[in-house]
Amino acid sequence: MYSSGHDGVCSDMWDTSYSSSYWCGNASSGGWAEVDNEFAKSGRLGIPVGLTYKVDSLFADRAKHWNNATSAVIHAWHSQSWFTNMFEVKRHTNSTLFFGRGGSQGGRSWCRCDQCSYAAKDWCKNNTDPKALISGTFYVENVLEELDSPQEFYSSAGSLEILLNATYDPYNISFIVPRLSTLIEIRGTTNIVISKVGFRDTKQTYLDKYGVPSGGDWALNKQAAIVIEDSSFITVKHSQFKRLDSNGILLMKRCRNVTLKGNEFSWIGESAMAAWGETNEWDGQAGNQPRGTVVKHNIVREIGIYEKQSSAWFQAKSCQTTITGNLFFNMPRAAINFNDGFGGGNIVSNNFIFNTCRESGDHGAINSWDRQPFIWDSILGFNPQPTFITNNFIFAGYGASQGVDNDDGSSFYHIINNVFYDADGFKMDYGGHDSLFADNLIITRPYDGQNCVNMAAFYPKHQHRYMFNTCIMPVSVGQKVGHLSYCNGNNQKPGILRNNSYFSKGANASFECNGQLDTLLQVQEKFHLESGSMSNELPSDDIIFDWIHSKVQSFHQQPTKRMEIM
Amino acid sequence: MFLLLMRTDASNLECKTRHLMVQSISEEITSLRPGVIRDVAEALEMERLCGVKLDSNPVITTDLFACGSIYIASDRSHHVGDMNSIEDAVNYLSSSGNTCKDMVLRSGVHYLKKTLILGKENEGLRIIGEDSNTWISGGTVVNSKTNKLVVETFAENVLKLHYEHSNTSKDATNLFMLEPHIRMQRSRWPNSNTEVDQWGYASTLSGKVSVTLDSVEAWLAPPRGDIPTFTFVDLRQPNNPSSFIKNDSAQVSPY
Repeated sequence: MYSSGHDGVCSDMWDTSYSSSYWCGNASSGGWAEVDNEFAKSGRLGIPVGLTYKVDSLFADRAKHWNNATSAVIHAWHSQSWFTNMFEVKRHTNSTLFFGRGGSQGGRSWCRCDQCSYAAKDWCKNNTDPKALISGTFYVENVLEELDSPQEFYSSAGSLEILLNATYDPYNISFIVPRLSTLIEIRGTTNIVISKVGFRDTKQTYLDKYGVPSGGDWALNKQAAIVIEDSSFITVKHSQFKRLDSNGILLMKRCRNVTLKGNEFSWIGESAMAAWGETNEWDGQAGNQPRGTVVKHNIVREIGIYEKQSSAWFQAKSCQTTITGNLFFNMPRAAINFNDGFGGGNIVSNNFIFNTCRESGDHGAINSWDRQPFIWDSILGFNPQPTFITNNFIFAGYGASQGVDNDDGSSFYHIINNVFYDADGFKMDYGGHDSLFADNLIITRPYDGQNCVNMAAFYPKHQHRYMFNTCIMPVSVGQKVGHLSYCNGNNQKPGILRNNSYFSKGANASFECNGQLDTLLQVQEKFHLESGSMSNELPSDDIIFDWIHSKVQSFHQQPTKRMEIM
Repeated sequence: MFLLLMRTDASNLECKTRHLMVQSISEEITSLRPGVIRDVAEALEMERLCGVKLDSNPVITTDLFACGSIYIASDRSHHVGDMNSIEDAVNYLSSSGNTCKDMVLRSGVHYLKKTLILGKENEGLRIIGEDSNTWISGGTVVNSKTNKLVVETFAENVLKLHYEHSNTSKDATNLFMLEPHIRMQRSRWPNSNTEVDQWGYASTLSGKVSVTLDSVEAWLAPPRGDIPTFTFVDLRQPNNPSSFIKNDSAQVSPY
């Protein structure tokens, strides 16, 4: 199915000039899609236009001192903490803040108490309105009466007030008011190099109208320190991007052979690097997408200062990207995000990734969605090339669930020879297919019980393959390898699983299949799955470390003989 | 590279794996600037979790290339013959017919008045920074020389600076100190260091630097508006308008 929507309330909220929105369609599906689906079909989005605070609340105590909250900004987490929304206050009367601009920074609606009460259990229980919109926590900025701490400022027409530690000499200090949100725009050209240049002080853009580029959860604005559009053979290298309040680099439409190499991004308001192509609904054969981009040896850290749904690298309607040898750490959500499966052919290799999803969950250090099919090639049609994720060393700490979260429908991923520490293993969700997860070393941790593998069924010949993996379940994780379904199925099977090694205390690895717990031996005998796989005693920490070390060393070697038979 | 002090919170395996991450990064990524490895070790909490301190830091080099025809003066470096602005240099190079289209930005800050647009006439252009202190800024300077300043004491050891600057103030939605380059925070409640404080649902500061739903009576739902125009195509059907058939679609009742 291909589904999208535009105009009406959709275009009131989001910029649909480049792309209609999957979430404004009447047939969206996947995780919590019924929420957006209902809102789109009713013409009433789940994004608030105001906030009424309780008169006896902490917030009310504060707000009663505000003479004028007009032009204040509320930053609020989405109900399930997938992104943050910002809203400009245009009026404050009694105990209500009415919003003006903003609200489009994420691609999706907030859910209501009758849709996802788990997100705010106690609040919903005490709320008489079952259709109450749920948020996460929030804060307010740009209120004069809240100017009370060093390093804060308040601006209004005609003046600027700044609080500063007295250690600074106020007569010998300069401030920068950002005026531009894009510094360099490269459009319709070729063969340009930017080298060893620092970029700083761009204007924040989070109250702009964002677009929803494709079927992932994201919305994105079209501003960045460097915007590259309809261009080829552009190189940005050894440059610094520091304290920019929009995006770092954004590739738009038809870009070919752009190289982003050896750059460092830090303290960025939104994403470091992003690519956003254009299609005519499902048809991308015109080629108006970034293809063949190389993202190499970059360092990205401390991004998503304002918009939490930000990544080191994000792509939508883009393909054949090589992301290699990068260092990505300290960010609120995924380091690498594939918003759709357009074209595939990406290579993600030899990257070092840790401290991702520091402020969010239900996500991975690398994250993907594949909810909308696209024709990217006149011969191959809808079928993308495989995306290879190989030789990466990933810590999936904080809220990251997997090293790679292949979410809703993600297909054609070949995830081979990686180290995933503190991570769940392979995930299939909402009908992903044709992926290979092989020869990875996974050291799991207690999370949600998916542990080594979580696979449902799919049509024969298109199932996922999970093989030659080593999955270590520390004592705290227990024995459960993960979830399978349709183990007895005739037309559908839970993928091909074989030649895996599971390590747990007591050497008694078990699988939950159709709600029942079976040992590895039972799974092999009853369901003819996991041939050649073994359940082993948990080794010592020293041995586990030797395996990790060997695997990391192997990142520089040729693929093993074993890989050739896969 | 490391001095092993003593193990603290994390397991031996975890510490060794974190250590391996740092080592591998320093070996793999050759373009690291000085200081990055120390930051990596800090981000991995090597000292707090594992009692490990970094005692050295790799130094790296990056290339500088230029055929050296055009130099652009910065706010603090102006040599004889330098052009005054990036815009001037780009315009000159696009119209001069020079085969060498290298422009070198002098060390310092280069303030852009408007977005620099590079198009077909700029093919072959190379923009090179003189050193790692070369910056392009999208901002305007505010200080006591350019704007009238009133200083008063706000609290003990805290000053309040009041600039009159009618041209820029209404646009000051974000603000940085020039040197050191520090982000200033719009007056906020609850107070927080926006750059480093984490306020996600599971973050320790959630509800401390942010407000919980306990203060909320209701988020106001928007009024009903026009229903969007929907596009829906069943790609399994032979006569679908894409001219391709897709019958393994991930989102077709997969279970």
